[in-house]
Amino acid sequence: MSRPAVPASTPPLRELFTAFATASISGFGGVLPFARRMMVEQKQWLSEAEFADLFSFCQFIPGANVVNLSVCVGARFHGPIGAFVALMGMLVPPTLVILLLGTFYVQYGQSPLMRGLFRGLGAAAAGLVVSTALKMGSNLKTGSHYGFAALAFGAIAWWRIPLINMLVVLAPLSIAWQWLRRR
Amino acid sequence: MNLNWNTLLDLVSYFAMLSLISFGGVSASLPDMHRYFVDRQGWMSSDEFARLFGIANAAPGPNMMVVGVLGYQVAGPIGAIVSFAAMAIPSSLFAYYVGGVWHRMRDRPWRVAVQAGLVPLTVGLLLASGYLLTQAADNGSWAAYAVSAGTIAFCLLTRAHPLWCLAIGALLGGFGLL
Repeated sequence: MSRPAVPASTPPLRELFTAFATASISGFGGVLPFARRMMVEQKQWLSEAEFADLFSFCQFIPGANVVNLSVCVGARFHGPIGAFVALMGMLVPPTLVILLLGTFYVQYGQSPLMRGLFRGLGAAAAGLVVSTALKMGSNLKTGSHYGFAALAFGAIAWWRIPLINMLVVLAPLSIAWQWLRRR
Repeated sequence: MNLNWNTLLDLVSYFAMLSLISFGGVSASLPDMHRYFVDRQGWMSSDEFARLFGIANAAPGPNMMVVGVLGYQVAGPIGAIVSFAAMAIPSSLFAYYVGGVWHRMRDRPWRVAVQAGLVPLTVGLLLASGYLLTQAADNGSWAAYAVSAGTIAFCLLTRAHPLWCLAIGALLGGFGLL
């Protein structure tokens, strides 16, 4: 974790928890915009540039990116305890929501109205994922980038290869390709 | 739903493994969840998987909510909690311990190559995820395909909040039009 720029005021643990819990529970359709606004604009825990740097790391490593973000920011202020408290802030409220939703779905999920409603949600949510992929895809630059993206797509979408098998084969090849290209 | 230790163990070991290989985030690893829950374990139909994903998207919280919703469907409240924890803990430990090293190595060529090499794979994964979810959710209904396509156009062409698309999709679906 980078801990050079300790802000003027270190937030107490309780504030760390409530701030992340608030961002998490406000996050309809994605927590990221709320987390960014909370950390950069409202609390001023991070500068815009620090946020961008930290987020690119959190997006790149495995796991949910906003969850990783809460761990990194919590650790920056209070070490392991801070990481834990921020993580709990991020996860406890949605866990309660899941328990409510699950109960609701088991009770009413099979009624025709609800089945139709959830089907519509699923269709729109699938479109959201495609649009995110296309936006990210606009950052690809070279032909080899497109080639590896196409291989990953084919492996998962058509050949239905388990994710781990795909990564074990393609990740070293793609990294080696980038390494050789840069020498 | 009776508590089945083997099912819980399956959920925990699967999500703990997925947590450490989910490059590109939770959305990019949805095809693998689909493969495991629908094809491998036969815990639900493809159609149901898509509906549960829709519910997870309508709720507030990080996009890993879908993990808890799937866990709930398979093994009830305990299933939701253990799945959520198994998905969150390993990657969080990874973020905590690797964060420092990674930051110090930011300008090393190998680090740049690793990052540049993984980006195209995550794009391909995310696109595969969108493709499979569209297949599962729309399932041959042209109206449902139109909702997915409309959402894609809306998100690419406007800066408005995507929650509108979810609301419209839910409304059309609720009226039985999809």
